[in-house]
Amino acid sequence: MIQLKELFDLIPLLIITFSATFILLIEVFVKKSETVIFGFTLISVISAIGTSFLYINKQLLIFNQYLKITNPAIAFIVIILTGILITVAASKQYLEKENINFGEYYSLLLFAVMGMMIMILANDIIIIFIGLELMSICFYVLVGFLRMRKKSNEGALKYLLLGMFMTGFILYGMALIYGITGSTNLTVIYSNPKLFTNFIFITGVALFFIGFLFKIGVFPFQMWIPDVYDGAPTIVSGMLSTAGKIAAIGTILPIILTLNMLNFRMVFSIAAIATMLYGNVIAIAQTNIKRLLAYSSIASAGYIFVGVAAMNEFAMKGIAYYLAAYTFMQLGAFIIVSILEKKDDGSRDYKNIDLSFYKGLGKRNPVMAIYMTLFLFSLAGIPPFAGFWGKYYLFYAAIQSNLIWLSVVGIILSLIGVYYYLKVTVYMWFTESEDIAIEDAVSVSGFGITATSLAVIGTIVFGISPNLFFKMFNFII
Amino acid sequence: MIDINYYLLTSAVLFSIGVAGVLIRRNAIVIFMCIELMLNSINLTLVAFSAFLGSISGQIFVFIVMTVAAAEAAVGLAIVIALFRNKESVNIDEINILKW
Repeated sequence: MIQLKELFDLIPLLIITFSATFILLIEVFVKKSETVIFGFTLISVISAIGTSFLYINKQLLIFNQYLKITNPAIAFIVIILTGILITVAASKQYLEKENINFGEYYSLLLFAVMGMMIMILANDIIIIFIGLELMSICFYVLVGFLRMRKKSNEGALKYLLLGMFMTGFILYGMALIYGITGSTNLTVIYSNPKLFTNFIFITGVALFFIGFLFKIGVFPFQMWIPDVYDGAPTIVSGMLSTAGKIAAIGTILPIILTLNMLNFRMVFSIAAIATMLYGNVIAIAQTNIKRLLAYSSIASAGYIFVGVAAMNEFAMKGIAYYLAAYTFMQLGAFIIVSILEKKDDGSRDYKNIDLSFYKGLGKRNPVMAIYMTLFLFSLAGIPPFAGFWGKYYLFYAAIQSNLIWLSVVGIILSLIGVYYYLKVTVYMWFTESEDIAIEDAVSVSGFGITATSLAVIGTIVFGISPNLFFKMFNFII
Repeated sequence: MIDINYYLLTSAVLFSIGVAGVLIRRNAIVIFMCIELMLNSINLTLVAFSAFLGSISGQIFVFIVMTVAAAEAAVGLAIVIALFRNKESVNIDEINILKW
């Protein structure tokens, strides 16, 4: 039975849904609506974060068992919303710079968040599909939002074709799972005892996971990530690499842990190693900062899959913590790139995203250089920043499951990663700019700097006291 | 009554034709149509299972898949048009600015 009072179990989702729709109305009825919409979006995201905390320690199964509220789900949702808050705060400046300051941007952003929240809370494969598609379709549009630029168009088309192709695989997997278990409800699917003896069910699960591994960007399915992140508006790439990945991981992680797929541990371990190797090694050769960060996000997916391969109770904690840290540092780095980026009048291309632009940035713009250094150190896993503890918990989870070889390989590969993060840092502080034509003054408006400061605070606070995060969401340590 | 295996086999073959089309064809619009073929073969699977199991949720799923396919087609064609305005081509071999 569905009751009206169950709506009160979903206040954050309702706030996001309401404001996503309402923004379109503001756009129509208010003149000079950009600032109003910006403020409205900020307020609604903040209130959604605030109300999310009401549901900690409430294990709820609502709407005819279609949605399930658990502590890890709330943690993932709060991480996503925090990422979105930082993205929105930094968006205004970027959109004004690129002359694409339309209300639809914020509306699409919030619809994407709505899809992510539905997907994470889902307890039914139909609902997972609806959430996934709501998120993906909004992302296709957001990637192509700079519609006058060839790069943005191209990224959007690549993302769209590959994303739809993979949607087909996910759906076929879902259809086979439904056919074998006779139900779309995950609780019923879990309760079926002889699942992994059935060949069709294994095929279905494999197809389902292939689609999600594509969304996360794990090794054989990672080819789209650099192209799409390079083509998308920089601020959207930042959001894609954090919120989009977190939603996909938050959806499949409970499924992996509940189905107890220990037989497939080797597959996940090999995928993790291949992803880390690919991301870290190819990133060394990059000369474009957006592509470098894209490869670093592939490497991060590899670290997360070290935790997934562990499949124990530490894995959930470690992955949630790593994702929180990752949101702050990766998003922060992308926002700095978006602030430093210049609009090019003639050639319709992104400007100032080459690594050579970062030479001597420490002298020209010390604040941005310091922030960027913090984020890169955190991504490289240097203590006391949050990224270090994230990797520590993931490798610890792997050691707890007797996967010592996996964590050793992971640590070695993350040391390769330190090279290219430090290369950018050395460029910023210890080299002089060769190109005199680079104008030194970059106007930094209040909101851009506020957003990055928020990310810096997150990186440092969670780095200094990692337990704060677990206490916040009541993970048992 | 026809055995369910025939339905499943037909939809598997259709799905494979769709996948092969996506991998072989070079025109973005044709790739689109191949993806639609994949989605519709999945609909056939779902309906066959639904009739076989006597459960209604498979048919509900089909409606949702059709809605989503329509939404994706709308967004997709808009993106193809935006690309065509800038490049005057929808051949995916010529869409090659982004590499490495």
